[in-house]
Amino acid sequence: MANRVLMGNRSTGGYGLYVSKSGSNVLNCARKDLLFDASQSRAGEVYAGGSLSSLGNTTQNFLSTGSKANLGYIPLVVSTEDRRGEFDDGFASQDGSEQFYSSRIDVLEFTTSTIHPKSLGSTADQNFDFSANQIIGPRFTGQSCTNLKFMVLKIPLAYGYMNNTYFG
Amino acid sequence: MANRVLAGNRASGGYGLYVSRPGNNVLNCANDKLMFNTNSGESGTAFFSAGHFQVVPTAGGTGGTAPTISSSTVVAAGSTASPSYQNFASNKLMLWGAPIVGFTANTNATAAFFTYSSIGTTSATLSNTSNASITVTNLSFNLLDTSALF
Repeated sequence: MANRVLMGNRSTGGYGLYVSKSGSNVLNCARKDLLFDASQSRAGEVYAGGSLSSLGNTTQNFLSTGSKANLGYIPLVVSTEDRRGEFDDGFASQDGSEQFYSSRIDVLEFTTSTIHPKSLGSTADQNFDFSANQIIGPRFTGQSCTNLKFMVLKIPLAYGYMNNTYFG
Repeated sequence: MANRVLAGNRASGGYGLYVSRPGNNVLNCANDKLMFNTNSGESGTAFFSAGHFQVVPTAGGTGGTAPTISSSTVVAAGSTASPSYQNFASNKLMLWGAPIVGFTANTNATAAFFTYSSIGTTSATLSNTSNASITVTNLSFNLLDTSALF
């Protein structure tokens, strides 16, 4: 059986705690074969999460349960909802002079403490108006957020936060 | 060099296993400077973490059997299937799927919509709500808790 757990000095990584994947020798396996690597800055600690049958066009504070402290950064949030899979919406005018294309536009917006369903841009149709259509706003009809599951990871993932201040 | 690994009694957190981020003293650093901890039910502003982000294998992963991370399911249009996974997290699961589908250009609203429901301890219902057959690669993650918020 391979050595799986090392608490000590690894030739690549230095002193720390290391756990390798099944079948890999923790002493000298490649970094990609480590399940846990203390030489790195952050791992996948889950700070908050939830399962909501629906979330309307409103913010949900994910820190409210237990009154958790704000992490101080916008975190990486892994989520799923019923609005999943690929979507391809296209429109071509009858004379062929205009063609529009739209992929998925239902998204989730995150802050340091909230999660909020949004629609990004607009679907392609004959009424598309670049000057009037929203960039990001409330979810459109038919794009409601249902069966939302999410996990907030203690990993900064937003402009201004992906630097040594938050990873050091 | 900073103390990085503690197996013992931490002033904040109690007995457990703790690993700090490089350059931080595991004995007394702020909670956010820990990259691993065995929390003991802290709450409020002292909260550490709810657990760790982990994949639940679709097969294997026990004893000396290497885990199989994902499965592939073909679902006809308007039909359902039952992708399975190991019972590592009861029904506390976040199911993730990626579809393979061919699109036809310039057609309105071609879609590969699908949903997961009836999430059980070893399988769930995968419903293809689109108008074409799709192949979905299924991944399962341990959601840690089934509460509305945790």
